[in-house]
Amino acid sequence: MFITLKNATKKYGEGESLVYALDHANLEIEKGEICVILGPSGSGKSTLLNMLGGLDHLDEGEIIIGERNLSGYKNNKLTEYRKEDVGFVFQFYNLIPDLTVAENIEVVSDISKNPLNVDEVLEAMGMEKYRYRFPKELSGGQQQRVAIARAIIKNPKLLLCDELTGALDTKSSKTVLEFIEKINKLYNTTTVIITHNEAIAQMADRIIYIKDGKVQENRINTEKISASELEL
Amino acid sequence: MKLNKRYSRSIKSNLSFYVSSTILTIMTLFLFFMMNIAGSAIWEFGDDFFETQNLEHANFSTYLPISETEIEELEEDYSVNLEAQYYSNIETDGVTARVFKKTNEINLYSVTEGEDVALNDEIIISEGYAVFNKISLGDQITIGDKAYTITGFFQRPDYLYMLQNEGDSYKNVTTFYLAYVTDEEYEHIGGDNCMYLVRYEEDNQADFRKAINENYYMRTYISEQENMRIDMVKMQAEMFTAISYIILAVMPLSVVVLVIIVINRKVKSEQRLIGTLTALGYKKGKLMHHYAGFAMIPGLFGGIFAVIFAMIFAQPFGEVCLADYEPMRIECQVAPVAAVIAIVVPTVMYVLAAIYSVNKLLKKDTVLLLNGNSEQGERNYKNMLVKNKISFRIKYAMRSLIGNPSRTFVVLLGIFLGSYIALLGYSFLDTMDNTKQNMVDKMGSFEYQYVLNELVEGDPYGGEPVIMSTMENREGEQFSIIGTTDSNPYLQLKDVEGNNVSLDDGYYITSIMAMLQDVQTGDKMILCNQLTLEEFEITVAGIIDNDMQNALFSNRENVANIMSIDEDISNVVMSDVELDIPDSKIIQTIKKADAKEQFQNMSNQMNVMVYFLIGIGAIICVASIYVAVNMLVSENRSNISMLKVLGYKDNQINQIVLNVNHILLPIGFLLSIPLVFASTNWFMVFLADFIGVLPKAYVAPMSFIYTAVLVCCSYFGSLFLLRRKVSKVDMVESLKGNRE
Repeated sequence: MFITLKNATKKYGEGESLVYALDHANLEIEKGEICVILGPSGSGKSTLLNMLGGLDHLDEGEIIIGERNLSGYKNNKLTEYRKEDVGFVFQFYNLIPDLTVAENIEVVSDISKNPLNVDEVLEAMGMEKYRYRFPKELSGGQQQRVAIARAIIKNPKLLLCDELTGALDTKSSKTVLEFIEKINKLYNTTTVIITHNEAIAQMADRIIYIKDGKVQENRINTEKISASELEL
Repeated sequence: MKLNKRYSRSIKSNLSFYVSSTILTIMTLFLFFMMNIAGSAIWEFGDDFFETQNLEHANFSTYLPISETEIEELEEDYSVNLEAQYYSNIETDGVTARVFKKTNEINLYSVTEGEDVALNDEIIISEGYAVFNKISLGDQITIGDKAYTITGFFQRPDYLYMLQNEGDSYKNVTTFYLAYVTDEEYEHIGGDNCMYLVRYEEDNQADFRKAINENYYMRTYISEQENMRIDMVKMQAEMFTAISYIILAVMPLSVVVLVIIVINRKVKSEQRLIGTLTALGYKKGKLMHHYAGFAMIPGLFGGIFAVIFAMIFAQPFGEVCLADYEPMRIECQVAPVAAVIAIVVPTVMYVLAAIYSVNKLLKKDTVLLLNGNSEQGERNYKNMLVKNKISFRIKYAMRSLIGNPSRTFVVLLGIFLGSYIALLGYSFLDTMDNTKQNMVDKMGSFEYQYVLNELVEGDPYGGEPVIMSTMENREGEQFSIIGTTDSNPYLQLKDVEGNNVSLDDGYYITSIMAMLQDVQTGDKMILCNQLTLEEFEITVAGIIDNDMQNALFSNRENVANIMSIDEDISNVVMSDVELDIPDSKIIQTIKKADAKEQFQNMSNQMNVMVYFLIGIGAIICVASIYVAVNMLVSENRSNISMLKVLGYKDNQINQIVLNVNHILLPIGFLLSIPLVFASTNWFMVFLADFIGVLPKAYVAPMSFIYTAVLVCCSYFGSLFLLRRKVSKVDMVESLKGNRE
């Protein structure tokens, strides 16, 4: 298994206001899979993504990513983990507005040990001709493609996508998902997509349902279709 | 307005901005207050003390004595107050007591502690000497062979700066003091020195002086303005006042601009909220009112605290600055009007800045505000270096600097202000020191200048004899007139272009005299003989490069003619070695070392003020840089958060975000240098009116280094404090971010 969560627990508040964002959650994901995590708002999806991405610490339990057990990691080790192994794609792209497309990608390649070639990644994402544009000069879909390029430039072992189509129209969403699929195939990157759009789950190798901080279902998608066939 | 509930929460979350802006406001106002209050207090004390104690308008001595009856006649004829001042200098065990006979009308003494003398074995002494030597009331002091009991301490208006001799350059409270005994005891002591004190009631000084000279032969005449014992007090007051206005011209204005820019940026950073509130139906007036509330905090609190601190520290500061004078009872108080202005002006300025910013924002489309895109359509510099292959870090830094001019300006201003204040302090000290070391030599290459009390023919004592006298212009401003030859080895006079001049060509004035009297080559001047008031008209042949002496040079013939003496006669001898001239033949010995000592003393007098300036400069530097870089961090929270998510370590983020301003450090420092030179020169021109010397602004290389180190420490200290702020930025902000 590439990702293993054992009794992962994260609590917020105390006393009567105590909330379990993750409540003894267990799950496993294979290397190279596209995994879609579904669940209603407040179910713990974002908390789970924070934990997988090394952005936060668990209160109890373990997270094992590849050969790393994140549970005992201090902040500097988590930083190292994010730098080497994880790529993030966010709903609102989070590009640095003062940098061009190519420069936004260089922000990551600059600190990576073995980054991919920026030109190749831009070409793969169909953004080569926009390399000198600034984020504000791009559409939402284009910005999200830049965000994906930025995430994969380091050739991460794990790609985490948080509601990556949440701010996009249907056409752009589909294009972005096609690129995710393409990256997955091209680099065998384990990809975790958090969404509440159930249609996206059809392109996943694995579908996980989460509710009230607990994993309700973790199954292999036997009826997987390609992103281009999705009806969003 | 419910919206105002945000105040406490918002202020709490931006506490560092409010604290540092308030500190900046406090410091600049405080600095101005300290200097201005000290200056005003000295003025007020001086004016009051001089008035109540009937300070002389001039003192003089004559070759023939003036009797009491003649004094009364002169008073009546010329509407003056005239009084003889008898005194005796008595040296006992190396300490000189100048015992005065009491005067009744002019230069009245004031008993500041204890009581006046009543018995013949009682004495009152000058307070500065008592304080310095820790003498208490009731102690015994011996003059000659008689011991007196000290019943009181006093001050005289013409001895607030305790010079033993008029030609001395520095106070003496270690081996010299003034004293009064009873009239009966004074007769017993037998004072044989006499000078005359005069107060004019009408504008008839010239007639009076001419009459004195015609009937009693004037020996010396020193006006109140030329008496350093009196004028030093006025100079000190003027010095503080002048510095306060230099500070006023640069500091509060700059700080207000700085804080206004920051407020403007803060309002802009809330454009989404402003857009939302507008969409919810909030009117412009309510929003302006709301943001004005935030903006008034640094102005209001800054003004109030500056006034409070000034009220607490003005008195001790003023007293420390006057340590070289007799203990003056100055009252350093903040004038109510000044306090109100200090509170109201910055507050109003900050509030207006907030109102202006909100108003400007509300002219934009609400949709743009809601999306945080109020700057859409504005010119930006992002496109610079787009196709250049240099690192994204350099591009980011340059766009951050050039694309955010107001933020860059704030950082630059902070560095500039800190450098300016600290360097200004060093500049004052270095200028005095440089004058002492180098400019004094412009006076000539002699080491000794003997002023004789006789006229000599030839050179009976060796050295180089010259003719010298003190003259006045019609306004009573005094200057020296020196008659010598072109071959005088101690005076190789050059004009301002560096060419040698020949005194046979006419009358040359020094560059300082040209400035003080606003006279140029070819102008005509009226010279008045200080003792006889006889007038001469001369034409200025040229300007000599000499900012050390307020003097006019010509050949012996011309000067002898003005002084009505033979041109072979001299009254001053210059020499590079000490000459063997009997003491009885010398009125005064001027050593070049004494002139240097004078500048050392002036430098010493400035020490307190200078170190105060340097300290305040450091605080202003830290506070303003903290405000500016704090703004930088606040405006880059999303980027910082994102960089953290991407795996950047805190120190790497600091390099990208915080260190972009490093380039501004040398720029701000370098920009302050010309203004420091301009300010110092302006101050020295002002000072030249009092001391008759125009020191040239100079900053020693070490002072540049000290200031640079100070500013660097302040700058990097501020960045160090803000690194915590960077490390506190939460990564999750990126995940929740809502940017387009």
